[in-house]
Amino acid sequence: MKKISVDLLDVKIRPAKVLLVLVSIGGGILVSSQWRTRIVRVVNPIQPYTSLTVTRDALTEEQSRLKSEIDSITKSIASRTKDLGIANQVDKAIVQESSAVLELAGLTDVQGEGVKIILDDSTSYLLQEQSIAHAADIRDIVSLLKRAGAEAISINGERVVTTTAVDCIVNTILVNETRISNPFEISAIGDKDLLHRVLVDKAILQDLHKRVSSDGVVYQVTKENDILIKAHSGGLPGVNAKVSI
Amino acid sequence: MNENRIKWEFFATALLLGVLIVWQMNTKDSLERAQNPEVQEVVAVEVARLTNANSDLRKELADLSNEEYNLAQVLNNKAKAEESIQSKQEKAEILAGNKPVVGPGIELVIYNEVSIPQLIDLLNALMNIGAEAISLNNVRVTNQYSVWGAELKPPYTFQAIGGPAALSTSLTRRGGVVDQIEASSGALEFKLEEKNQLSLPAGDVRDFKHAKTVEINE
Repeated sequence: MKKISVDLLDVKIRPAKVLLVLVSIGGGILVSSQWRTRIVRVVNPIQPYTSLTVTRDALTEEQSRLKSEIDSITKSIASRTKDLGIANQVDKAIVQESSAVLELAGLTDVQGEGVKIILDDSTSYLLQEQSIAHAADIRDIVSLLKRAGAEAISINGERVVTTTAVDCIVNTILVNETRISNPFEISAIGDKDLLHRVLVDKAILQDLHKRVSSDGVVYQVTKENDILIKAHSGGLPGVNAKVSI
Repeated sequence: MNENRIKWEFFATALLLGVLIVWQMNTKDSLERAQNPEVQEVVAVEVARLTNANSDLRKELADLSNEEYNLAQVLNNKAKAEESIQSKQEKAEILAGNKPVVGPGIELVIYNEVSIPQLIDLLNALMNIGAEAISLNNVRVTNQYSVWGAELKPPYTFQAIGGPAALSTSLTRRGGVVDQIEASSGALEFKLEEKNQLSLPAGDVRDFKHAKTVEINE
C-alpha cells in the first residue's frame, strides 16, 4: 500500500513529464488544426490564385518569346531592306528615309555615350513608402532625361518610346506592358556630362534626393562612354492614328 | 538512463512542435495570401494586360512576317516591296511624332493649376490606356518631349488619339489618374469630350547626335 502511493506521487511531481504531456497536447492541437485546414474545405481557395499565377507565368514566357521573334525578324528585315537599296532593287531614297524614321522612333539598336542610373529600395532602412523605389521615380527620371536631351533611354532593357508607359500595379512595375523588378537600371544615350549634371542636381528631383539621404533609397548615376540600347520590340501604333497628308 | 531518455523524448517532441508551428504559420500565410482579394485582383489585372499585350505582339509579328515575305518577292513585285517599307515607315512616323496625325480620340481640358509630376502622370496614364499619339497645349508629345521646362500654364489641353470610349472611361474611372490627382490636390475643374476626329501637329524631332544605329551584318 505504501509502495503504490510513493509511485503515484513520483509520477505526479516530475515536471519534465508534465511538460511533455502539455507539449504533446499542443502538438496534437496543431496536427488536428493542420489536418482540418487541409480536408474540410469543399472548394480549395488556393486553386484560383494558383491558376492565375500559372497563367501569368505562361503569358510572361510567351511575351518574352514573341519579343525575341520580333527582334530577330526586325533585324532580318532591316538587313534585307538595306541590301535591296544598295542593289537598287527598291528606290534608294525610300530605304534611306525609312531608316532615318525607324531610328528616331526607337526601332533600331543604338550605341553611344551617356549615363547609367541604378535605382533601388533601401538596403539599410525598414522598407516603407519613403524607402522604396517607385514607378513615379522612374517616370520623373525619364522625363528629366528627355528634358536634358537624351536620345535613347531604356529601363531594365525595355526601350522607352513615345508610347511607353511606366505603370505600377501594387508592387509590380510594368514598362511597355513588361514586368520589371528592382534594382532598376536606366540607361540613356546623350551628352553624358549634361545628363549626369541634371541627375545629381539636388535642386531637381528634390523628393528623390531627399529620400536618398534620409531613407536610404539607392540612386547611383555613372557616366558611360559606350552604351548599347536595344530597339523597341513591342507593338506599333496605327490602329486609330493615321499620318495626315 | 531513464532521465536521459526523458530528455531525448522532450527534445524530439519540442522539435516536432516547432516544425508544426512553422508549418501551421506558413499554411496560414499562404492561405491568407491566396484568399486576399487584393492579391488575386493584382494577378488578374496582370493576366488581362499580358493577354492584350501578347495579342498586340502577335499582330506585330504577323505584320513583320508579311513585310519580310513582300521583301523576298521583290524581283516579282517591286511596288509591293516598296509599299511594305513605306507602311512600316508610316507606323514609325506616328511613333516618332515627326508628322501630323489624325484619328478619333479624346480631348481633356484641365482648368486648375497642376504640378509637373501630375502632368507627367497624366501623360503616362494616357499612354498606359492605349493613346497612340498625344498633344499637350497643341504641342505634339514625342520621345524627346518633356513637361520639364515646357512652361505650361492652365488650361491644359490634352488631345489623345485612340479608342475614344476606352480612353474616356479609363481616365475618369474610380482610382484612375483624375481620381488620384483629385485625392491629393482637391477637386479638379475639367472637361472631357470624345472626338470622332482629332488633328495633332507634327512634333519638333531632332536628329540624333550621340546615338548611332548599330549596323546589322548578317
